[in-house]
Amino acid sequence: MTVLAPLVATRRPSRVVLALGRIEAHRMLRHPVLAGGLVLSGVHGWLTLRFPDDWSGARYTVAPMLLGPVMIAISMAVAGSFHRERTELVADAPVGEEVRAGGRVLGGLALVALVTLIAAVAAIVIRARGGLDLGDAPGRTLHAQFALTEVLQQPSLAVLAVGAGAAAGRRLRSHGSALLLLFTAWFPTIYVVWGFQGRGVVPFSIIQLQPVSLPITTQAADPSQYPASWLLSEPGEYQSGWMRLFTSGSLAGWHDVYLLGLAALLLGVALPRGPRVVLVSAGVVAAAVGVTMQYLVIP
Amino acid sequence: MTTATAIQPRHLEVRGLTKRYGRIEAVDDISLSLNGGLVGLLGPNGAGKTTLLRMLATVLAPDAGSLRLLGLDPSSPRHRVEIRRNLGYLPQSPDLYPRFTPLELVDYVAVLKEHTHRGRRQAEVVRVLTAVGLAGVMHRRIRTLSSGQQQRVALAAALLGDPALLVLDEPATGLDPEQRLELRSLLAAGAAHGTVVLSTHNTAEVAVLCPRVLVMSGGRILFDGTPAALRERADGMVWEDEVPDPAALRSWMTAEGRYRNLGSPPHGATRCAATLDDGYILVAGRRG
Amino acid sequence: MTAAPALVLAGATWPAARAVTWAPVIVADGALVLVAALTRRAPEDGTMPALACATTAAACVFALHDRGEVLLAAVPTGPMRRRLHRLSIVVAVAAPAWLLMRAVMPGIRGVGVLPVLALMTAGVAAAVWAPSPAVGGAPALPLLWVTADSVVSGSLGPAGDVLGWWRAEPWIVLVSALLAILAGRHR
Repeated sequence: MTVLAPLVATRRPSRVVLALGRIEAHRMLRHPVLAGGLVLSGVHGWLTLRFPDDWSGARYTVAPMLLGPVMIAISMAVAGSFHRERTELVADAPVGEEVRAGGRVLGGLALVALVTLIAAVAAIVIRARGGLDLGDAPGRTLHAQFALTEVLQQPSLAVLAVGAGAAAGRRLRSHGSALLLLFTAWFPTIYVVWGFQGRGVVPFSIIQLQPVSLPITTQAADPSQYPASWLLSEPGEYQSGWMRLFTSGSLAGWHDVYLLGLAALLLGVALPRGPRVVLVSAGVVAAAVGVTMQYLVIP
Repeated sequence: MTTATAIQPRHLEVRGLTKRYGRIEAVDDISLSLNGGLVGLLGPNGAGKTTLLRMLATVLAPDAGSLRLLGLDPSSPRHRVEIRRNLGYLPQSPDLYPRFTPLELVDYVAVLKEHTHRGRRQAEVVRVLTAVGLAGVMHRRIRTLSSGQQQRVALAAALLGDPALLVLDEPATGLDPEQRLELRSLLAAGAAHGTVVLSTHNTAEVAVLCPRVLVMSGGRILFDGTPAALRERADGMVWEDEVPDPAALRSWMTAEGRYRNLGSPPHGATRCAATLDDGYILVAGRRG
Repeated sequence: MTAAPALVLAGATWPAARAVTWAPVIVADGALVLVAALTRRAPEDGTMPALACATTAAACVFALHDRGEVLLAAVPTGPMRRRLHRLSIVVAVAAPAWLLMRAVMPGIRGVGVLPVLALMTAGVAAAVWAPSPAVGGAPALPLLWVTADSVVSGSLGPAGDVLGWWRAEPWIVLVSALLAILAGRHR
């Protein structure tokens, strides 16, 4: 007869968080909506690579949107996890809601890790192919590469997706309402992204597309007077004058800070009162700093 | 107004009934015949009791075999509707509408059971709620009721219209002893003019209530007879001792701290009178 | 004595309406109005109509979930009849809400009811035919379909065209879904 070792409870919340995190990560990675998101993003990515650019720089500009369906899926998977907190199960457990939420967030970070991996692989592939084209003549390049901070936008978006899912799942009584709210928030974020390209609203965009188009002169001006390092876009159907196509790692970096601030704010909404105050405050500050610094970076 | 298909109020016939979930045979080639009265279905968890009851309640279609309820074939949509007009079904742990009161919920079920005359329907609703002991709380929201009271709301819904066939899945769940006594009276009344099939884990209930008991395990019926006959299966096979007997089929500690053993008693063992529990354990534990 | 189905459903309308989960419909419509307000200056490119149709259709399919389904499994008023009854109640409320949204949201003013109906009936058909564990995923069908259409956006040849049928040929989707629902009427 096998003798089992007596079951002894650990008194360390960190171990409980890790154990819960492993369970939640396992559930979220197997969630069918994640598979759907990965398939759609994969199809979108394949279509973007397969077909020639509609305009110079199309692939460079569109790339940050490609994982949009995955972000929706992450939010929905995390919402399901946090919605389970509304079911009173093991109310007598020594671990409180903060610890359980910590486990869920840790599980959500597994999805962030997945997105990070995808983004890293994509960046390596682009680098191996020699880069992407960007800009019109003069100044057009065929070797544009994403800065590290631009690549980090994807994991930052994934963290925001975790925060959004946590807030919606925990605070809305109906699971269906949470899923619909998340879809309604994410869908225009991904597909109306062009609406946030103006200089005044770029810092507030959720998905930041670079380059940012900045008007520099009227149609009649001579573009050679501008620095050779500038990427320019000539007048045409959509613009009356010359535009500078501004790309910046710093802009992307501060945008990532903004996203992480929003994520902290939303995560705070999902948590009980104690950690909520800290996270919401920190999130508001980070988001404000991120937005302000973006405005300062943009010429 | 449609002409009701003639039903045979007390008749229930099952032949070779089988239901599979993937590779698991939840109900395995079951045949039985009932002609009124009250039948108890005993069995361990996972025996297939709920699956069998769902088929008798026309909620689940079998994969093989034939079924005739009240003389009709439930595989025919028209007959199925007719059966349901004379059927009351209490599922296991049903979900109720928490914002409804018992009166509103049972009234809604009554409408769906085609009792459209408002006055008669409401009288019937009050009757069944009173019969299950919920007269005092019929205007309270269901979410404020205890689990036992909620169980009785669902039971009241099943009793609407005095159905000829009552299929009850663990109707005594959450009931206290006094409520169980009341349930026994209700079921006895139902069995007087129709057929009542109920599942339970409680052998004491079966002993008092059911002139006929079926023991089910592993999807099969292992015993079909009276409670007395089930008890007699264990006659001469029960003995008690200070320690558990390793040669016994089953052995467990009693409230007095001694061990009750079931199987072939050794020479000189102190034999005990068999109970219904002993007979059930002997029968249900022999599957395989 | 049996009662006419119409009489039964008429008597069941008010309790059925109370039993419907309205929260997804309310949340979806409220969120749509908010998003429309925030994106009112964005160029019109079909995103808002797609979002409005998908979300409204999914909310209606969500609202079909009946927590009393198990309790009511053996009543003579069958599951399909009860499902369609609930759907008609939801549509009766959602339709005026849709028309109101069209009035206040410029982005969807040109969208008729057919695309929403097409997506909604497709979701209902999925709920009828999906195996038991997957039934809860039926409301996801309108969302998934519209997202896939936005991703593919006319590429992928005929397959891409089919993805766009909910808006380009909603009659085909609507009729196909209704036929599927009819074929599953005894489920």
